[in-house]
Amino acid sequence: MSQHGSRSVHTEFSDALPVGICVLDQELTIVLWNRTLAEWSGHSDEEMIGKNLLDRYPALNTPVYRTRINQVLDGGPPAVFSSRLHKSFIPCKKSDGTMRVQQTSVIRYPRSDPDHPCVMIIIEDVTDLDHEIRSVREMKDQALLEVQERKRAEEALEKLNAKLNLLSGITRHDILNKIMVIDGFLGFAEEMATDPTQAEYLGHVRAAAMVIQNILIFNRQYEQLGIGNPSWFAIDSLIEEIDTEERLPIHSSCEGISIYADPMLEKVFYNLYDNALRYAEGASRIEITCHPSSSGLRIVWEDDGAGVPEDDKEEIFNRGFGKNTGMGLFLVREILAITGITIAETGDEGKGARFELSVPEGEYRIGNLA
Amino acid sequence: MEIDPLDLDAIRELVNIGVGKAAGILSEMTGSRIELTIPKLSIFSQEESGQIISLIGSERYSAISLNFKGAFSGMTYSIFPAESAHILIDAVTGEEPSDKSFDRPFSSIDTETLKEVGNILINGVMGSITNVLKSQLTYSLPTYCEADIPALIQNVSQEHREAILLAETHMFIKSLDIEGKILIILGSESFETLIRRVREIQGDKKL
Repeated sequence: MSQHGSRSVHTEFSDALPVGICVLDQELTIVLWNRTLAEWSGHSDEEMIGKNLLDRYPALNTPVYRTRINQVLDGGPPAVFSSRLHKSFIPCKKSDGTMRVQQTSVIRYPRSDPDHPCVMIIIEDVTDLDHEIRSVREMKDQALLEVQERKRAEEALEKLNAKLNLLSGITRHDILNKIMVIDGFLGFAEEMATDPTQAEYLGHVRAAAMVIQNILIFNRQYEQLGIGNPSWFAIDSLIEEIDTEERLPIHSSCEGISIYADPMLEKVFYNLYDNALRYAEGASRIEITCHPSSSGLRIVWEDDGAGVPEDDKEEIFNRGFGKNTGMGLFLVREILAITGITIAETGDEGKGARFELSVPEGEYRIGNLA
Repeated sequence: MEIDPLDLDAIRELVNIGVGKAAGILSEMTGSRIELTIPKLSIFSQEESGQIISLIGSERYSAISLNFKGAFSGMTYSIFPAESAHILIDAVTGEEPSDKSFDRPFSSIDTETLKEVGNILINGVMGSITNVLKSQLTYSLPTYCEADIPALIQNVSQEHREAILLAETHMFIKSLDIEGKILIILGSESFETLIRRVREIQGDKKL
């Protein structure tokens, strides 16, 4: 009889499967050892069949395995052996020398004689899955560690920031008090000054003191940036809050549109309006329009005043630029940047200033606020 | 079928023997002493299954199920609340996870570990019961799922969910208290077979 002819259907079938299969009789003698298991273990079926499993693998000769295999042989439910608690049921080395991680099930197998049932051990190779899960877990652990470290650093920074804010607040308060004193005494000195040169010098002192005061006021405002959580603001409500006193009327067509911004957003519109009052010579009105598109929302604020010279279009957003404090448009850009909103001047000199605010997609809503 | 306290006592005894065997295997396997408390047993009809929720809550459980067929057919579940399941996995594997939150998801290695522990518990209990019944059953391979009690009951075919045996136990590993339950869901015929056999044995004992 040929080698092929001598193999049973069970053997042929089990050899075709990509899992390790071993069948034991009631004495735990190996009666089937499939091709996959032979490859994995390095022991051929000729070598294994007829041998006692516990003699070949003494590590299995403990109550943990024996009791559970016997439970199955006695008619009990299948037993499963997880890869975490039993790395390798049958030790199998891979070509790189590492052990194959296994997940094993032991089931009752009546074979041809129901009075003398066997047990079938089915071994799945879960090495790749095990490595993947472990590497994901390691990455997660590393990420968690980094989050914890970042949290600690943030807490330390918050404490430090609070101390700096306290110090800066006290210092600002003290300097402003002293400026008030300077202002008061300057008033007396100006009244007493009869010499025009002396009066001119006192004027310079007053101007310098006012600049210091403005810097400190700006400093106080800037300190508030990013302290409050961003939220939704209706553009029209913010416009309505600007006290125009009929000096320069504002017309808005942004009804029902809200944007997600820092709570200091009202300062943005206030400063743009203040900027128009100061520099938009001959302006008669301010027009605000909103243009939603697939890439976001464009808010256009334009007046019909003198406009901004080409060379100054970017400069006006720099700190210190301008005739007043030089902080207004700088602060505007900083406030908007917190939630990713950009601002640029795009008007034509002589026709009026035109500020375009670009709000990213997802940071604006059309309709009433919920 | 009317159940008297003696029936309940006898079934509790069977479950207790099974749980004791399971504790022995688990202790041996983990190298730590594992104790399982004597289970508290309750029996419900399908109509009374709503009472289970009022008794043990409506949370989702990590459940290991085993289907069985034969003279005695139905489904057995070993169920753990998420918190206990996480404690159990960490205790038996001896691992210290960096993420200790109990709402973290279970990986497939976690569920495989739970499946083995649940399998040991179920096999202990089912072993005791089948010993008494003296009949050969056919079993499925254990499976893992996460569900609440009504979904677990619904998962059993209509004719095999007329009686529900609920055994509540606590497992102590390294002084950690792990809550676990075993649900045996049976058809009325299977349940009557069990009670009849239990009564026969009690009768034998009296003789």
